[in-house]
Amino acid sequence: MSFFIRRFGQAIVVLVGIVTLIFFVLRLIPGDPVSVIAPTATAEAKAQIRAQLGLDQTLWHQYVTFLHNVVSGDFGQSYFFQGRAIDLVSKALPYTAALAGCALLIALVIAIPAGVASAVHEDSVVDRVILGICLIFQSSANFWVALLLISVVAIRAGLPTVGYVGPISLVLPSLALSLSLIAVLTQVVRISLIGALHSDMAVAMKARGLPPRRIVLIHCLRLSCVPLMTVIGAQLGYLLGGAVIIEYIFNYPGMGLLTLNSVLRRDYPLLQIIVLVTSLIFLVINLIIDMSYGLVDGRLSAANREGGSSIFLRLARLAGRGRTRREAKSGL
Amino acid sequence: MASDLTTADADELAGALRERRPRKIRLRPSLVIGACLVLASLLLAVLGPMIAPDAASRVNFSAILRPPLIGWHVAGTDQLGRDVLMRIATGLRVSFAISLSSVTLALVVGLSVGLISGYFGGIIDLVLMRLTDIQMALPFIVLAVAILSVTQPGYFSLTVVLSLAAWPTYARVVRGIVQVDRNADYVQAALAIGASHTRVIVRYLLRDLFGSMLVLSILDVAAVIIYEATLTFIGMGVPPGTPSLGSIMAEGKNYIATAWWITAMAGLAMLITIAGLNLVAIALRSSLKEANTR
Repeated sequence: MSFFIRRFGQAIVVLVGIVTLIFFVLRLIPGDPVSVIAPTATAEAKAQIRAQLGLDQTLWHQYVTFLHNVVSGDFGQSYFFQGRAIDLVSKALPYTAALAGCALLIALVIAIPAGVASAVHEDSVVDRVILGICLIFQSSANFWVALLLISVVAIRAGLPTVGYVGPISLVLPSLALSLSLIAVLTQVVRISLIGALHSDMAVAMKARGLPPRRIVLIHCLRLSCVPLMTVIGAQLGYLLGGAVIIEYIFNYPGMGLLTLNSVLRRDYPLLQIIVLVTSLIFLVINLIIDMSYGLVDGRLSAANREGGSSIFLRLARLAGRGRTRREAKSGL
Repeated sequence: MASDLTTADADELAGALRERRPRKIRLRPSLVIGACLVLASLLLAVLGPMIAPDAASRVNFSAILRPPLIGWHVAGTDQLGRDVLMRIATGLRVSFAISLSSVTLALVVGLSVGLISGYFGGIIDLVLMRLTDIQMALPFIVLAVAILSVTQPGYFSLTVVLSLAAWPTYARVVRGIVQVDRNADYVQAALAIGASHTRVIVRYLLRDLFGSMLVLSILDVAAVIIYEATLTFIGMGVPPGTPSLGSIMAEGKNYIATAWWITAMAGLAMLITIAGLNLVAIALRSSLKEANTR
């Protein structure tokens, strides 16, 4: 349990760090939000706006006020758009969540069978072809893929390319976003499955006469869950960040487009909460993933109870061995 | 991509890359193919603008939006009749220059942070590693866009911002390796006979880091090329006026329905370069692993 408390504490420290970092980065770098909000205002009017927004205070004063407001749940008004910054974010968030979720779903649906096929036929033509496709997917920029999809697919298939007109609008952006994810996840499944297939467990099962299909799909593939989860957690940053450019191209009303709009307008309060929410999601999901390793893989929760070193070291120790506790007990 | 690595990932990578310099690098097919692809794009980047210095900017209104492989224009022409291949060559030059300099910067920063963190440990380690955590939890594009929107556009700020994406990975990997090596017998022996910390770091620890740093840097050059093109594509990277892969694609976007080749060719050049870099990195990593297990 102490592991989780420590992990939680780390996440809080990181979050405070991020908030502080983004606050000072935005304010220390030259650039005046007032001249963006009201470019034609007179000097007095500008001073008035500045006082109204609290920008005439010293930096430390602004920072303390800001922290106080964040803790009490007040994220301020957007400078540019009407309404509270938090409302704008909560309106855009479901769109980005849908986009990221769809991309992840597409990636998993393709990557797991591809990874299995690749691992089962290790070093064969099938494996080479799959790895080659992975390399191409991994090496192509997602915005280029998005443009190709627009020019090749959208015009012919009559798919919408701008804005959000219903779930059909998700098709192209999530495809573009999922491509490099497919490559990464396929390789993860492949490598962990190859490790499991070469393990004593798999050999023993083969010796006992279990059908190969059962060995691969039920016993070995289960061991890919943990590395797969770790990598998905790591790729979350890509999904949330990569959405910026994809949303820009498809003019999709999610967090990415909101980020660009807030940045271009020097909308500090809006940008701060966007960064805060994005990193919060990243940290919380990674925390959940860390905590659920034990649920997916019984060996890890057993290792957890023994306490001691970091979970990643334990994972590393377990990797490749591929014996479950039950198998170890039954003396296989 | 480099900036999307988490703590766990980087720690794992540190384990996987903890290999010495190989005595011999095997010429596996992937290394040869990868090196050829990288060389081809490097040659294009270096020779292209040398052979025809003004071809990338020469406007020719009698040859507007020509498809590829008609006449001299291998990759077609754009809306002003400029040769797309020559523009790509200039763009690749910019991409290589920026990615190499920002990866170097990231390498220097990450290496220093990782060495200090792993070697001295304690409170310094704790603070520095939380710093890398912060950096890794921030989606890079969001941070980059935020910073670039308030700075003067230019190569310097772009290089610095791009290096932000990469340095935590180096720091993590270096720290992982140094932490283990620090307690190795040969380091302890060197310290016992009175070698200074500087000498231990330079003479023993840096040597062990060479292989993993090489692989990581090559992967990062590829990742940074994509990041640079992404930022330029949304108008926040390379200042306008210089053709770069991102801006060629951004311009081509307006003609995508009729002149697909502008965007497609620029992206293809990028794909070839990055696939080549990735192949080389993968091959080198396998060689390092082999050298270690032998």
